[in-house]
Amino acid sequence: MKKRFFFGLLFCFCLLLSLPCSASAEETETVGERMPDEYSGFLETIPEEIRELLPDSLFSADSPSVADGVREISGGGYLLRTVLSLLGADIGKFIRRFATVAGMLLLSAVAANASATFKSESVGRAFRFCSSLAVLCALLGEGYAAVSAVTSYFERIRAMTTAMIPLMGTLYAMGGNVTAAVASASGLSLYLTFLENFVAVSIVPFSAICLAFAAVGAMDSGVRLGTLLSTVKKNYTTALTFLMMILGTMLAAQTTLGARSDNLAMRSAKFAAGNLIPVVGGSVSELLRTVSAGVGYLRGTVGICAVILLLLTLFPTLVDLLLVRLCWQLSASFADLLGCSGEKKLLDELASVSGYLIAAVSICSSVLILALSLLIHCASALG
Amino acid sequence: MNILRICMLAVTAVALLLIVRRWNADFAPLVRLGVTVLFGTAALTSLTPLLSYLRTLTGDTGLGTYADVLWKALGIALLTEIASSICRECGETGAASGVEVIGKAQILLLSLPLINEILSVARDLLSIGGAE
Repeated sequence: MKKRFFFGLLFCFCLLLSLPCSASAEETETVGERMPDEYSGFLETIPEEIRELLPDSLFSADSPSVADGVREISGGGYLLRTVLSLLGADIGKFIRRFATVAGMLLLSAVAANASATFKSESVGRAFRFCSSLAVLCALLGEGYAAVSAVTSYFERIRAMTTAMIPLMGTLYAMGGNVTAAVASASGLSLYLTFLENFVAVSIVPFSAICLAFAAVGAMDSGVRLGTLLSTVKKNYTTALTFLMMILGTMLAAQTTLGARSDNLAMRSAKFAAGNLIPVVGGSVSELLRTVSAGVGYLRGTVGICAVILLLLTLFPTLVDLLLVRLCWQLSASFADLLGCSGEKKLLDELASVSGYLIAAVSICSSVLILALSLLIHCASALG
Repeated sequence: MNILRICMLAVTAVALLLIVRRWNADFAPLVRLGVTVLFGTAALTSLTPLLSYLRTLTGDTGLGTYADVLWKALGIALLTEIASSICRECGETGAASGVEVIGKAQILLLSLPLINEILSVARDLLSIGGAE
């Protein structure tokens, strides 16, 4: 009986030693050294023109190589080089666009002067209508390009957010922040739903309404739609800002509270392990601290990388929109110089629509940057 | 044709018109018509190099299509204006109005591709918005 009890105890002790200890040792070795599988999925959502500018080390599966890549892309030299290369193409486009609009305005001024010499009022009006249509066609084409660029940017952001949800969830869960992972995933899912069902659906009709009002105002100076247009614009931007503010606050509060709660739960578990298990308890605590450092390293690397990639994706769209707006503003001044009042009104409205598109793009991007900043700054619950 | 010649021709034509009106008033409208056609042709001839220069200027840019429509509309408007003035001077206001209506219709017909282009931009905007 004593022998059987002794062998049973020995067997249990061997089982205890072999199973959990060997498993945790393997896990600790790899935590922080390998990138999560979701990271490659996130990189696939980066636009091709941005991906070409990134160093190869960023696409590695080893976290030290990725960290080297992140160090490189976060350096001033790389950022300046990339920004200038992206800016170069945009400035060329801006000059071409401005030259086209200025040429069209000159033609319009010539046409207006020619029509002033006509004795017949009706023929002059028909000619002015034709010349206004020609100017409108040239300008609306450019306005459509700006709206199209914003729509494709929202598509990219949607793809990036979809890839970011599992990646961030994994990184939170690896550090023991299970509640924070759930809060972050639910916040980002809500953001995604909002992006798909409100921004992506409403931004084009909003721009179309503004462009239509502006076109009607330019075609017939007797129609006064300015007040209605400004009301539509103000209400849309206010609604968008308000919703994004609520979303940002919810995301920040839920993630922070979740992280604190996870931290408390994990500390209690560590305390219990340290006091109740005499020898192994101390080493478990040390082990968790090592895992925590590895997870913190991964979070920092992935978080900073994602923020820079998001900014690099945002930058071309933002600069393009800013240059489009500058082009409309300069052209409006030029139209004023030439005495084309209808065209000036249209160009002012187009500049205003570009301003609202810039606001929408910036507001929507800021929520993602906030979510990533929370990931970078959120302390691991294991540490 | 330089401006000096045109001015001299104008003064001569007016003098001729006064003499014809005193000699036989029935021939006066015919002479007036001839003079107006002559000056209209001279105006179009002097405008042609300017228009062809502007066409080459806009041809290299992306404004070619719009500029072409504008020049054609300008030509139609000028011809309509000259024709309706002649009709009105001859006392035919009905014919003058008819010419103007036809001229306006021609200009509007010329604007149809532009209207079509604006509608296509609107269609594209709707298709982006998913309201197709």
